[in-house]
This record gives sequence, C-alpha cells and structure tokens, in this order.
Amino acid sequence: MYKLPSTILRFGVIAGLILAVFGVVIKQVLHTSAVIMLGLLTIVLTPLVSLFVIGVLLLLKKDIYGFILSQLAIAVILASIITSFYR
Amino acid sequence: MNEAGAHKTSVLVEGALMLLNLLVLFAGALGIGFVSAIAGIGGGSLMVPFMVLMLDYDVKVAIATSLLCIVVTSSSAASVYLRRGAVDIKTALLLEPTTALGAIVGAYITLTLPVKVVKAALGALLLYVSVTMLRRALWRVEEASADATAVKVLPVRKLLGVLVSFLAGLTSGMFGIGGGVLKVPLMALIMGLPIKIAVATSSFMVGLTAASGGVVYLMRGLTDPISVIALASGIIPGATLGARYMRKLKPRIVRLVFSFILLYASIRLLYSIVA
Repeated sequence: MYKLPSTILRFGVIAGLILAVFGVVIKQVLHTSAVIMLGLLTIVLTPLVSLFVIGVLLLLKKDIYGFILSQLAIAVILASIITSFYR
Repeated sequence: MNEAGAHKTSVLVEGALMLLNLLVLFAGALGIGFVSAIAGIGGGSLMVPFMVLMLDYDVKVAIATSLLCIVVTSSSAASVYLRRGAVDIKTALLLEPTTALGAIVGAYITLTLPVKVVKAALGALLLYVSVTMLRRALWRVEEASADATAVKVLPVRKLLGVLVSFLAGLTSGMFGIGGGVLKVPLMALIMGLPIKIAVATSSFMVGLTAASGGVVYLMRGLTDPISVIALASGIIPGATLGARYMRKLKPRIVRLVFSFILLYASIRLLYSIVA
C-alpha cells in the first residue's frame, strides 16, 4: 500500500543530495548558493511529501482520523518553516 | 614571492585543507555508520561529538548538519520498512505531531542558548546514553521480546506516549540526534508495540522529526552543506558494511566500545566547558 511514499522517501533524499553536490560545483563557478539551498530543502521536505502522500492514501481508504493526524504533523512543520523566516 | 603567487599558494593550501577535512569527515562517517548499525542506534549521538571534538565545528553547526544527515540516512531505512509494511502508521501519526513540535521547540531553545550551555547539556545527554548502553552491555538488561504481539493500548497510555514523544522530539531538535533512544522504548514499553515494529516505526518518525528540527537550523544558515554531503555519503556505506558484519562481531563488545566512546566524548565536552 505504501509503495509510492516509500519510493518518494528513497529517491527524494538522493535527488536532494545530488542537487546539493551539483550546487557546490555551481557555487564555485557562478558564486550562488541557490542550488545548494534547493538541494538541502529537497532533503528536508522529502519526508513531508511522503507523509502527505500517506495522508492522501489514508483518505482514499476513508481513514479520516489518520488523514487529519498526518495533516496536523505537516501543518506543525510548515508553521515552523514559516516562523523561521521571522528572526 | 610576488602578491599573486602568494595568493595562489594560499588558495591551494585552503583547498587542500578543505579536501583533507572532507576526507576525515567521510572516514569518520564510515566508522559512525558501521558502529551505529551494529550497536542498533542512530548516528547522531556520535556525529555531533565527532564534529565538535575532532574537527572543531561550532556545536550549533554540528547539530544542524547532523540533523540533515539523519534525514538522509533514516529515509533510506524507513523506505525499506514502509515497503515491507513494518511501520505502524497509526502510532507514527499519533506521535509525530507532538514529536515534530518538540523538535522545533528544541531547535529554537538551542538557538537561543549560549554555546557553553548547549555543550554542557549535550555532554549530560551523552553521559546518560553511554551509561544506558554500558548497563545493557555489562548486565545484559532484558529488552522487550521481538516476538511480543501488539496489545490493546489504554487511552491513558496513548496520552503518556504523546507527552513522552514531545520529549523525544525536544532532545532531537536540541542535540541533533534522531531520538530513537527514547522513541523505541516508548513504543515498545508504553504503546505495547512489538520491538521490530517499534524500530521500524521509530525509523520512519526519525526522518520527520529530524526534518522538523533541521529546517529551523537550515533557515538560519547554520547547516554546512559540504559536511552534509560528506557525512551522508560515508554513513550509508558504513551502515551497510556494519549490517553485513553484524553476525561476525559480538554486539555486546560493540556496545561496550560504543559506550566508552560516548563516555569519553561526554567527559571531553564537559571538561571543555570547565577549562
């Protein structure tokens, strides 16, 4: 049942790492850290995307309680991302 | 030597030092992955002291970097557990909101605390983990049975689980560890999960918890991306090797070595504050 979130989890972090490596090279050439940041954000957000997919799968199974809990966890993490912009 | 030549030399020396630093990080990560796979514990409790004591990283940078590495390493393990259906999603979803909240609060606490206080608290935590491991290795403390079946959990126990998971998240966000040390006993002893399911569920939760704390540090620019790459690419093969050699080595001996390393790290951390 959880094949899709499992695949997202595995390949999401690998993609993030590859992006970060690519970003290091880009930084040496173009002096911008944007790609590195994108890679690190991909790593951090991968478990979140996987959790969201799990929530959707639970909703499809009509497990409303599980869906609400998964969205609650996502909301907490997203709130932390938003608050970290305000120093 | 003219100015341009001196500049070129300094750039070369800087590059060589950076490369050496990366190689040390990679080698250390290989060892951390190897030991932690055999000892059955996440790499965070070794990663932070390794970076602070051996490579002279700022403790907050080490914590931030460790959290991102934990996301990478735990996600690989969690994806396997998820595919096998070994993760108890309901328990994970019940505990994760408070654990994530704990990790975020923990990260903010560390950001506001002075470095010395963070070092002292980390030293105390490592001392606790090392003593617990030593106890398990020396007196063979009974662990929850792997074959135990899941039992019906009372609402009071669920509430207690939710509260303790906040603490697990807090320690994860504060010290850059996965928090499996607290989560596995919590799920096995309080929530009544069989130990194998507890380990799989904890592994799934660890990635989410580390991501919650890690994002706070990342947004503050405290994460060192190059160290994340070096550590993560060392830990994954190290852990694979550890899992392969697990049967050849006695876990009790590895636990003893592991606990002594942690004991040494905690004493050095605590001593560095006094000195």
